Amino acid sequence: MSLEQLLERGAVWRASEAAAEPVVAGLSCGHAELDQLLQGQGLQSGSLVEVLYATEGCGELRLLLPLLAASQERWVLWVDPPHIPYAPALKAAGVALDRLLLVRSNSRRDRLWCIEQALKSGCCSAVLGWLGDVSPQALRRLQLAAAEGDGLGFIFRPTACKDQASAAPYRLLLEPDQAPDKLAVSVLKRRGGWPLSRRVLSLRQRSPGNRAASLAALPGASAARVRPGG
Amino acid sequence: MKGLWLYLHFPLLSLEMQCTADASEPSILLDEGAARVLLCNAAARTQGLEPGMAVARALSMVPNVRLLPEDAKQAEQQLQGLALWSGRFSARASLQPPCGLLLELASMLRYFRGLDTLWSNIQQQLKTLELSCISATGHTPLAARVLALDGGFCAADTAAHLQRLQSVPIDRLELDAKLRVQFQGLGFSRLGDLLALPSLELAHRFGPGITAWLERLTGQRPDPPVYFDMPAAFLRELPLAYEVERTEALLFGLRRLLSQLEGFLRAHYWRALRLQLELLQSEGRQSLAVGHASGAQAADIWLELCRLRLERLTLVRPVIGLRLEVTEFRELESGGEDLFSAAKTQVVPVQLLSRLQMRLGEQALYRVVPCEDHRPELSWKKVPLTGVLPAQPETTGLRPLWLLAAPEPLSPALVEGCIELLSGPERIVSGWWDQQSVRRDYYVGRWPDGRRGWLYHESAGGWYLHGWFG
Repeated sequence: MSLEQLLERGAVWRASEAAAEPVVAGLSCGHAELDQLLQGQGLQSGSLVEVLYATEGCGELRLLLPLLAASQERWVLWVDPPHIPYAPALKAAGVALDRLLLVRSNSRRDRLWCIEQALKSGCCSAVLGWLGDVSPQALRRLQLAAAEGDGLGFIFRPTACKDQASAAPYRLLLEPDQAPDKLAVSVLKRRGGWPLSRRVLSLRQRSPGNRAASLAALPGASAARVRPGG
Repeated sequence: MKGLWLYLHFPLLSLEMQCTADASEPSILLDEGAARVLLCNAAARTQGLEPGMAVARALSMVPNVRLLPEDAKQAEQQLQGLALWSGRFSARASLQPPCGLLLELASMLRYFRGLDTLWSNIQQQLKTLELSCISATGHTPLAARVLALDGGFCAADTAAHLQRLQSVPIDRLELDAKLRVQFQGLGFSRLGDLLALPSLELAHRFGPGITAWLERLTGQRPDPPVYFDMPAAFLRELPLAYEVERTEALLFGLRRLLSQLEGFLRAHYWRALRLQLELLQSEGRQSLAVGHASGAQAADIWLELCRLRLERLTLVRPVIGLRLEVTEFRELESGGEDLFSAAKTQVVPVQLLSRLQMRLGEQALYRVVPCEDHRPELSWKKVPLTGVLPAQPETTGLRPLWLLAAPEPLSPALVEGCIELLSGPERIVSGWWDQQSVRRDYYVGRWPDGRRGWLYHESAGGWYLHGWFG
């Protein structure tokens, strides 16, 4: 089959035509550097965002905090987080705790069902779900549900899943960085653009005063190592 | 005010009410002696079966036909169930045994914004009932009935009804057989032929009965029906024609009960908060409670909730009947629900929450708040979904977003060699008054790969990881 035939069928997407598509303003992630990488200066609502990381502690929640803190009216659902979301730190970051709902399910089937229902309902601004190895079909269902409810779904998965097929329009691979409020992000997939290689973003927020949210309050990496005195 | 009535004729009611699963299976209803076929459904009819046939012959033609017994008492119950169902359309319904239902429409036209909307609404609801039905309007109750038995009709004004009545064949009328023969002998074939005659002549020749009947038909003589009293409580039973062993198979029957419930609730202007569903079995029963946080009327919402609840249930024995009772009602506050507003795409949160709770159990959903305690593991707690959150203390110190459910021991070698302590110590000494006394120095540490953890050194010795700066 010739290239022209492929182009006619719409099987090949030309980067040069991307500019012609109308750009819908996205939801800002609250991190200017990340927003710049995304079409419409943010995440398009009604999409699934796959966040890949190895283990907790690399900044996976701090990346989302500004978005979560911006949702004061609609619900935010956390489905089966790996640890306890620590309420004092969330409150300090400005997250509306009365709209934050935790769900504990018993099985992967229930977990997927929960996320799907919440995304479909349209009453959640964001649904956060921790999934391990799931089928591409399951992710596709979730993406359809997100599109139906016009919310954002964040699916956290281990780094090992990065080579699997995924229907999520956004795929971010996170790696910790040595600097205290930095995070290395590789955009494996994004709407209206090609993949981007690893780059280090600052997690410092626009609004100062969120001590727990950014680790800006920490002494920098250059500071002398502290040792217990005794 | 001009009258307008709707007659719903369910020709296969006692047959179809017993088929609580697959309508495409050929089924026949037997008479009392189980010798003749009383009714047969469309599937049976296409295979050549017809009412009046001997059962033996029917069986030889279609060996796999499902045989259902006639049950007169049950038939009456079913009609009452339909009257409950119709509560959503009209406050005044009248039972017309054995298989008809009469609704008064004139007073409802304004509420439903005209006959067209109401008519399409009714037809749509009839479809979800999965019962064969012929419906007709009439300017009098009798006219509606006659037109329904003649194949159905829909119009709003009297003249159109009178016009349509002219063409009804005489042999379709529910008249004395002797009278019918007489009329045929005189060469009358249509109702119009009778209506054209002077009533005095007619009375003289055929007796006053027929003129009274015609006057009731045309509206010259008042003919108030006996209205059905909407009960004050909802308790319905539905026997199943055969034993059901899987919970999914119960949904068909349940849908019928719930659509009756919706009619009942709409008629009373109520919403239900809690249902008690009992699965009747040959010995004993299994019962389950299904609740909706804010109360709901719609059958679809309740069906969904029941389905989720049933999915978690294992049937002990096959189910032979369903029993539905509403245990908690509340008045529907005005403006809460509008029949005509376009269906909302957004499910209200309570609906989502009820759904999740039904499937996962009530304990599976909660919120978290900080509370007054210096010990990190006690400075947060779970709170229920609804209600205002308690006052929350201000946070002091740097806290991680993830807290481990139980602190994880770290080997001293790891802490000494690999983990770089960035800040601390923050000494937390608390809880000497209860059994969980702590005396710890907390640090923020950087792991070799760059992750940040929250770790502490126990005063008695030993390092522990307590959280991650996620």
